[in-house]
Amino acid sequence: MWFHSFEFLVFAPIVLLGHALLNGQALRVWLLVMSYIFYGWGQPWACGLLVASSLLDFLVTLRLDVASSPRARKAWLLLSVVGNLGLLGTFKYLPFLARTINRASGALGWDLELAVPQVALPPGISFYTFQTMSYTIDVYRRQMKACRSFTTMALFVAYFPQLVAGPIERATKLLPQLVTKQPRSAQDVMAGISRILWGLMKKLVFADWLGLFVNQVYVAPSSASGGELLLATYAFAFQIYLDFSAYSDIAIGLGRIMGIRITENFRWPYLARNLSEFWRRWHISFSTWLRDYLYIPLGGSHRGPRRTVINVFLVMFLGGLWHGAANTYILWGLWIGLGLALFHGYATLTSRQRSDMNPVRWRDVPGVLLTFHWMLISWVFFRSQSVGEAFAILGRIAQPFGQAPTVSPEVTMRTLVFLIIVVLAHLLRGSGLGLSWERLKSPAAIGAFWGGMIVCMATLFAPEREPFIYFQF
Amino acid sequence: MTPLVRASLSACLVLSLAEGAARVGVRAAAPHCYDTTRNLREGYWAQYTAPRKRRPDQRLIILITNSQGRMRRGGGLDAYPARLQQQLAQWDPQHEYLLANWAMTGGNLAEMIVLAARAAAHRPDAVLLVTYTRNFREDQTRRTLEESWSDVSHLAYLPEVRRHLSPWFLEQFQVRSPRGWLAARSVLVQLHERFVSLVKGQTVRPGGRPALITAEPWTGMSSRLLDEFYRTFRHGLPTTPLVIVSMPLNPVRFTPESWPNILAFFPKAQGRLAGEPRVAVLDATGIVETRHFSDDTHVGTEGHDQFARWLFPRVAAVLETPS
Repeated sequence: MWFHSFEFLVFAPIVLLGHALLNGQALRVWLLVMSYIFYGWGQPWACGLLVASSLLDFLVTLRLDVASSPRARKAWLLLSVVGNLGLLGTFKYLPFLARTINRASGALGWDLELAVPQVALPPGISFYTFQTMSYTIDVYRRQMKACRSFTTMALFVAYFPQLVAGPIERATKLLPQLVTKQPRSAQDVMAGISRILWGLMKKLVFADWLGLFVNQVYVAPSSASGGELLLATYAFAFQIYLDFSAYSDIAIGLGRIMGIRITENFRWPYLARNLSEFWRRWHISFSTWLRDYLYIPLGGSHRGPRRTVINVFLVMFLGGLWHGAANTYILWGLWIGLGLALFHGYATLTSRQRSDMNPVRWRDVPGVLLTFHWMLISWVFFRSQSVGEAFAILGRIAQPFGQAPTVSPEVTMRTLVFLIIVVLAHLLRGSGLGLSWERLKSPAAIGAFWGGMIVCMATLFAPEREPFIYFQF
Repeated sequence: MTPLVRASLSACLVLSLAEGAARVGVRAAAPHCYDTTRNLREGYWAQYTAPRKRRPDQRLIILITNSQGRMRRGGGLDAYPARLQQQLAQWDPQHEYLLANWAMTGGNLAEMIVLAARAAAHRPDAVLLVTYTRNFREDQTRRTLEESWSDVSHLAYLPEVRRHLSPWFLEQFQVRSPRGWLAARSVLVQLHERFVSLVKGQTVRPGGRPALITAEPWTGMSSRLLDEFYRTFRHGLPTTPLVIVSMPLNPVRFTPESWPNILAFFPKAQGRLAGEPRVAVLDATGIVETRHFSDDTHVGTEGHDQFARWLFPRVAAVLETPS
C-alpha cells in the first residue's frame, strides 16, 4: 500500500482509531495485523517471507540468550545471518548472479547457459532484513536481551510506518517502545500530522513533478541533448532526496502520532561539506548500520590508511549492492567509496577535524559544491539502465550546448522553476535562515500550516503518481 | 477546546478561505455562459454552466458542439453563435436572445451527453447540437469520461445533472471517481487541472500538415450513442425543441474512401429521429466552401458568417413553434 494512495487515506484513520482504543497485547496484535495488511496489500504472498524472517530471528535470539559457549553463540548468529542473507539473495540477487555468470562464461567462450530465475522482488526486503539482522547481532553482542514475545518481535520487524522504505530501526530503540503503549500529548499528535503533510507535499508536489521531467529525459537519453541530461540529473538529485526523505517524514509522523519516536533519516544532506559528512546527513539509519555492523567490525579507520581505504571501498561496494542487483548500483557505491577514500586521505594529510553539523558558512561553499557535484555524478550511475548508458550520459553532459532540445520549452521551464524553489528552500531551511514549521507552537498556527499544505497539494500535485523510489529496494 | 480541535478548526478555516478566494478569482476570470464573451471558455464548466435566473423577456438557446463553435483567432463575437444571436435579436426585438455557446475543444459525444443533461436545469427555449459522424465512432466508448480534454466530466457528478444520465452511460464511461466528485464541488481541485494543463506541456514533435483523417463507418454503437443523447436530452427537457445539425466539413481533410462515412451521420440521424416531436435534423455538411476554412477543420471568419446566415432561418422557424 502506498502512503499517497486513497486506500491509505482510509487505512490510516482505522489503525489510529484502534491504537487509541486498545492497550497491551491487544494493541500489539492490532498493529501487527494492520501492518501485515499494509504490507500484503496487492502482494499477500510477500507476508510469508516477513513471517519467516521474524520467526527465524525470534528463535535464534532466544537460543542466543541462553547459549553460553562462544562457539554455539557464533553458530546461532551464523544461522541467522545465512538465513536472512539467503532470503535476500534468493529474491534479490539470484537472477543478477545467473545473468552475470552467463555473461562472464560467454566472454570466456564457455557458454554456460544458467536458467535466470524470474522472481518477483518483495517490497522492502532489504530494509527489514537489515533491521532483523541488527536485532540478532545486538542480542549476540549482549547489548540487549532477546524479546520473549513473538507478537512484539514480529511487530518490530513489520511495524508499518517504516517497514517498506525505512528508516532502518535498531531494536534497542524501537522494541521497548512497542512493548507498552507510549504516552503521547496533543503536541505529539499535531507534530505528527504536520510531519505527514510536509512529507506528502514534498513527494506529491516537488518530487513527482521533477520526476516527470527526469523520466521524460532518461527514458531515451541517447536522443536527449546534453543540456537536458544535465538538468535532468540535477532534477533527479533533488527528486530522490525529496522522495526518500518524504517517506521518512511520513513514517516519523505516523510514529509520532502513536507516541513512537522513529529515527531521523535525513539532515539537509546537500549542505554537507564533504562526503563523510554527507553520509551523516543522508539515509542516516542505513549509513550508521553500515558503520556499526560492517565498517567498525572490519577495523574502521584504526588499522592504518591502506586498511581504511579497503574498508571504505568494501562497505560502499556492499552499500551499492544493497540498493539493487545491478552493475550501476555497484559503480555508484564504488564512486562514492573513491570519494570517501580521497577525503580520508586529504583529511589525514591536513589533519582536518571531523566537520560538525553547524550551519554552512561562506567559507564552506566550495566544499558543499564539490560534495554535491560528486554525488551528482553518482546519481547518473544510480538512475541509468546500464553502465554503458551512464558513461554515455556523462559524455553528453560534458557537452551541454549545441544540440536541439527534445523537450518542449514549457516543460523545461517548469522543471527549472521547481528546481529553483527546492534549492532555495534547501539552502534557507538547511542554513537555519528560513522559517520552519517545526517552530510553530500555537494550535491555530499549526492548523493554518495544515490548511496551507492541503491547499498546496490540492492545487499543485503532479498529475502522474509515482511510487516511492526506494520501494524497489 | 483541546489543542487538536483548535488546530483542526484553524485548518478548516484556511481551506474555506482558500476555496472562497479561488471561487471569487474564477468567477472574475471565467464569465458565465450567458455573458457575451462567447467562445473563450476552456475550463471551469461547473461554474460556467451553473443555472441562473432569467428575465421573462430573455430567450435562451443552448449550443452544444465541438471546437468549430469557436474562432481560432480573433474575438468570440465573430464566431457563428454570436452572429446567430445578433440575427435573432434583429429578427425579434421584443426578446433578448442569449445564445449559450457550449463549444468544447476536442469535444466528444460523452461530453455532449453530459451537456444535454446539464441543459435541463436551464430550461432553454431550444437546444442546438452541431456535430458529425466522428463524434459517434465506436472507439469513443473505450475511453472514460475523465479522459476527455475538457472538465465537462465534472458536471456528471452534480446531482441535478446525474439524475438525467442513464445507468448504462454511468457504467460505460465510468463516472464513479471520488476525485471527479470532489472536483465538481471544489474550485481548488479544478485549479489544479488548469495548473496541470498550463505547465504539463508536450514533448516537441516534428511539425507539418496533419495526416488525413480516416473516418470510421456508422455502426450499431453509433446508433446507440445517438439514442443515448436523445434519451438524456428528453429526460431533462421533454418538450424543448432540439435542432441537430451535421456540421460544415472540409472534404480535403478526409481520405476519399472515408468521406462517404462522414456523410452517413445526416441520413442516419434523420432516419432514427423521424417522427420524434420537436426535433429537426439538418445537413450543413457542404455549405461552407473549402476556401472559407481557416485550416483543415475549422471554418474561418467568412465561413462562420455563412454558417450563421444558413442557421438563422432554420432556428427562427423552430423558435416560432410554440413549445
